[in-house]
Amino acid sequence: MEVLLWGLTFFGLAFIAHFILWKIYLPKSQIKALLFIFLCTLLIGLIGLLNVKSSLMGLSVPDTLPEYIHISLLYISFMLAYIVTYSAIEVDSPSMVMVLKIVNAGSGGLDEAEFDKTMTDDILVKPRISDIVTAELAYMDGDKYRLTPKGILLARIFIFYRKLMNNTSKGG
Amino acid sequence: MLSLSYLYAFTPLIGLLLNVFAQLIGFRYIKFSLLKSLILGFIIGLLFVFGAGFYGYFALAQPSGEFMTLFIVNSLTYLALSYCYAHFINLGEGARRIRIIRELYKSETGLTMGELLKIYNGRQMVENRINRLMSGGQIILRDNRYFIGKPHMLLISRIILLMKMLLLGKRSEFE
Repeated sequence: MEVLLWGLTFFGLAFIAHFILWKIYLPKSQIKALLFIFLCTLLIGLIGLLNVKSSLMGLSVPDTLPEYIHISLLYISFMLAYIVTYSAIEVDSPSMVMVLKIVNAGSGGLDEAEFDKTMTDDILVKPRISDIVTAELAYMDGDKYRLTPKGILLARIFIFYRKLMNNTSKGG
Repeated sequence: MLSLSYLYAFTPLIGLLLNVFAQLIGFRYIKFSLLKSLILGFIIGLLFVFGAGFYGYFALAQPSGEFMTLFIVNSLTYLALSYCYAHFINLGEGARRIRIIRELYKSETGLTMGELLKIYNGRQMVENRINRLMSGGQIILRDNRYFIGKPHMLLISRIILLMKMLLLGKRSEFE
């Protein structure tokens, strides 16, 4: 039972720290900041547990290495799941924007032409090109965008995986 | 007994490996759709995680309290890892930033904003998404007007919107 309780307690504490920090100051690189907060919480939590003899706040403390591995795996899987979900919180997802526009239009539905007019490159594509430059995945070379080594690596990961799947759709 | 504890700790990771393998086989060789291949992979991995749990309980006579905890922890860990994998696949398929990066990678000399927008633009992106949402039944087009179909996507959108307002204090990145 300790594995479940401590894993969830650490995750809850990290979430509270993240929530408070976000209310004080919104980091420029939100995903990096989230990774830092969550990994620091895990590290501090595990060190804390190692220094407690038998129980803490009525909760018994794990005493074997597999239990510590188990807590870490549970915590890291939750952390990763939260961080991938956070990308949809940080940046507007077009599919979600579309669905919300349709529901906001009411029972008469949303006119197709009116909908097309609101979905422009300025909202959908240009901000994401800026994000890529801000994240140092691409840089400006005169008037051209070119990938940085970090961008090339990311592109290769996804191109490799799409080849592995034999996925021929253009995507996006 | 200790080595068995290690094995139980890593059960969700082995489940994830099986999930990935089955998903790849399902998509590449059985020619399932992306969604169906993800479901196939998820089920195969889940069966392993459940199987390992029940093996411990029935074959190794694990105490029921310990079994329940391990079962819950491993199932939750596996669910979270599978969610991350599905998200990774979805990034390769649907993420705008990944598509732009792939287009830049293809071009040896780089691309101007105009060139990029010729290859990948808002119209094309909306079309892709409308097609995906309509084929999944999440939205319906009737008499040139869009309506909500199945409510799953709407529910997810509302949850994300709520979290956006809770954490960022705004409804959109453009506010």
